[in-house]
Amino acid sequence: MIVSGSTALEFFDRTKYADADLDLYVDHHYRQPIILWLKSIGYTFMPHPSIGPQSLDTVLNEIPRPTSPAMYPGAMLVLDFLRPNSRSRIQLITSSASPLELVLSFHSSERLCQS
Amino acid sequence: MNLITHNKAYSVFPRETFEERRSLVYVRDTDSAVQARTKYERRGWRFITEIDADEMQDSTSAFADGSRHLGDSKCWTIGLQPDLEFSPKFWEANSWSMHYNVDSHPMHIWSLIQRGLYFTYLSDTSLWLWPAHVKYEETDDEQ
Repeated sequence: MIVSGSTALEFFDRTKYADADLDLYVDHHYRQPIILWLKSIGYTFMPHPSIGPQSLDTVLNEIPRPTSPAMYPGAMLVLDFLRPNSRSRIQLITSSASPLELVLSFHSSERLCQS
Repeated sequence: MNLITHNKAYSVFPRETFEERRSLVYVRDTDSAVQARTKYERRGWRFITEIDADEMQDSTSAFADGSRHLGDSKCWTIGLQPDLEFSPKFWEANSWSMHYNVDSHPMHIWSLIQRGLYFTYLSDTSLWLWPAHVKYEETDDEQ
């Protein structure tokens, strides 16, 4: 699993963005421990209305059809997690092959992400 | 392009990103790309769609044409503490190359190496570089 996007940018640039998500990239085969860990520390899966899996059971147990939005070419799933009373969002992006491939094939040398 | 693993943080284009605040665009404009780009422009980045011929050949530029691997001398690599003592990971075995097409449009090129391995790796087409990087990473972990 790797961290990329705004959080990695903040780390190097020693800045803080108010609208930054935590973007996690993981090989789709190894999504389960990450998802269970997010759940164990209080994060709830927030399905996108009408697109992608609607429950965690589906996410964990079924082989999905890739539902990657245009923003994430090559992604298998883009899953949002939120914690009650917190605005910080974790976005878990699963890759069909290497998560690094998703990061490198992004729109530009500064990774762009959807806010 | 920046990423953080369990033991190191890597910036693939550090001088361009943090000193020059330039970002090289790989895709033709789409609505979603333009929308996302606006956010980074607000944060102070300038987007360029091509580089000049001098920079393409400038071996000190991370945007130059040529081979790269994670943790190479063009990367800004920061070791993270504490050491989590995970089994060795081989992120630095990932390699690719940066090329420009006839329209000077940039692209990253790699092959995927997956067969028989626990994880999938990106490999620059000059494959013989690959095992050398793996060895380097192992040595690093033993320190």
